[in-house]
Amino acid sequence: MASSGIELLLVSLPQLATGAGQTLAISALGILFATLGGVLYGVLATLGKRWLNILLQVYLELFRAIPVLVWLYLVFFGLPIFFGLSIPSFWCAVLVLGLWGASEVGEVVRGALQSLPRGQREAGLSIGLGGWQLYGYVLLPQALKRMTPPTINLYTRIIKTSSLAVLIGVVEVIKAGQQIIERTYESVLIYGALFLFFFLVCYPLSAASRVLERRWAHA
Amino acid sequence: MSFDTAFMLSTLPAFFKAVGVTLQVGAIAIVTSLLVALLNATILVLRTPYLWRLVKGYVELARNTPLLIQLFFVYFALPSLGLKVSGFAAAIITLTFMGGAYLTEVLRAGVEAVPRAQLESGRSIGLSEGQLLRHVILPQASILSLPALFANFVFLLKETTVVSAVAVPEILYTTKNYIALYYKTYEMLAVLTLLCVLIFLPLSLLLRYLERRLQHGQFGH
Amino acid sequence: MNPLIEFQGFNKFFGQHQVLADIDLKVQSGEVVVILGPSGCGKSTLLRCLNGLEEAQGGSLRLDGQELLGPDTDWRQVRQRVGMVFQSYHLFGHMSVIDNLLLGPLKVQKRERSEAQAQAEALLARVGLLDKRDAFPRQLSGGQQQRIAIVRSLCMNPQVMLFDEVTAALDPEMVKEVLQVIQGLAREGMTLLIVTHEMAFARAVADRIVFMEAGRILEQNHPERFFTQPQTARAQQFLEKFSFVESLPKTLHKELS
Repeated sequence: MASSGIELLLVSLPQLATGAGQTLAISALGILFATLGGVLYGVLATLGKRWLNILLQVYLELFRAIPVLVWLYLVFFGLPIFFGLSIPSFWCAVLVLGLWGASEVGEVVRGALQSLPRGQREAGLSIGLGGWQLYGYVLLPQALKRMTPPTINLYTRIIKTSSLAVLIGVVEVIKAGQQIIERTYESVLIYGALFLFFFLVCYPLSAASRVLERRWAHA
Repeated sequence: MSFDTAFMLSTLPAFFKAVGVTLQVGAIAIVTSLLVALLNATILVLRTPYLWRLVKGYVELARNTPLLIQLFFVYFALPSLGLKVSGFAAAIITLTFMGGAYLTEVLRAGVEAVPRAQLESGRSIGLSEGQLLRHVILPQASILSLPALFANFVFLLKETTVVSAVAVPEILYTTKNYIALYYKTYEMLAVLTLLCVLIFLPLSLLLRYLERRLQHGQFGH
Repeated sequence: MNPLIEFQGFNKFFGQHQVLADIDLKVQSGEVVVILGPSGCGKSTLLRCLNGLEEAQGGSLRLDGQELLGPDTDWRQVRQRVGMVFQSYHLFGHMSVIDNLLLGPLKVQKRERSEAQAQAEALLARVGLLDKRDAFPRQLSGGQQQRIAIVRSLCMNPQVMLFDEVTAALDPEMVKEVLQVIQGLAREGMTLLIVTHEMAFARAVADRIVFMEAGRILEQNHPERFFTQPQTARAQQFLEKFSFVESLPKTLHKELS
């Protein structure tokens, strides 16, 4: 029984690998956009302009009030209706993960920037640094250590959430697994393998985040 | 773009029921997760040999794998081992599995957040470890954990939408169903969005209020 | 001669609360003005208005003839001409000392690295800290960090230097080294606006003392006259708090009792 199980896994590996590639691609792109968007959000949120803060808060609450899976459906079903756009579900998933991720990363970045002493901003301004220079040379570099561990945890969440893409029809690793199960009925083995796959991707990140947090813990 | 409000209103009874299912699943999951977490936290604090490592392993496993995979495993894979469960049961089991792990972390963090000085003064007036736990650690840890606990409760409630994947008739499943049956996509998505905002936005604001009152904001995830 | 800095009828509010009221102050080029007053009298705020860290609501503020209170003011330009040193120095912790000094000249003023570096190192040597060139702020004492903060501002070649209680956060044994640097700048003829609680230092370095309370300038005078014969009762009371010696003239003493 065991040997046929491993044999089966080896035979299905290519199909699973393709699916895994899709999962990782969605996750990686989602992480990329979430990071870029999040840094932008964090910078905008600390500029001290009231209208900006209100706008960002609405954006944040929208993504907190509506669960990510609902967002996936809203985008998947809604985009064709509202904007006449029909984008592949892969990109729907990337879009949703990116936007949701950006709001979460953004809050982390905002918190990190706000935890810096106010004098850093004033000292930077006093030597004539302009907006982007102030953030680029003085504020963000110093906020980096504080924002990295929570952001890595968010990356883990994005990877896990990318699994929901299967529900809007993306042929990623879960779909690939389900297709194999349809042929072979080895559900325990395949779902077990999927379990393992996600664990092997996410656990190192969680562990790294904890290590970094301990190493960079400031008083 | 026309907006078939009549149709929307006609679906309200069904959605009302769906909200009930969402809340029911959520509430049960919250309670069971909390029970699991309390057990785990006690084991972690008391450092029961062997069990302690088991709990740590469980927490890592549950927190580093997606809810959907856990759900599919329980609902689709377990039957071939002879364990067949309904969608509802699979939902509860899985949400408890995941929720228990997150809440364990919250409680553990709460216990660790109790200032060391409290433990030292407790020991120096002669309290046993058990008494220390009951009279010093637990009360303080509970208060420190409240915002994070509440945040995770809301998170669990939001995650109930995922169990729509195993045909549990909560709000998302009901929406998908109606879209498939009547093609009123626009209207059904509008109802779904509205329901989400009505249910989760107040909770989110309440959470923020709670955090500000208690001034700590640690998250289990 | 036209003053370098001129406040006229200057007003500032924090919401409803008036923090600065009808400030009229002229500072000539090369002058050293020390601003004294009780906590909360607005002296720090006055300084911070000069480099745009605080916004004003009314009146006029001119720097070298240029009006600063307008919507078109390019504060980035102004801040290169008005250097500021803070109570908590606020060196950039993630950069070495030399990088702290070169950030402004290279990135804001776009100067040649060789020239900027030569100036930075010369100034570092002048305050006796050239050997700390590659150190990081966390490795330095408060007094060392503050001296480097002063050099950081000087590297921008400002016309005016503002000092906001720069020794208040230092351990007593480090105060002198910082004050000596400021005294050196005064001797070179740099225009300085200083807010401080160090009375002896104020007396020694100032060309003029400005005494403030509750957002207003109550008295301006030559330091010697201010410390020995204050014109207002308020100034009198303020100085009382700093001296153990009975220094009041008999007549004013009778008024107060």
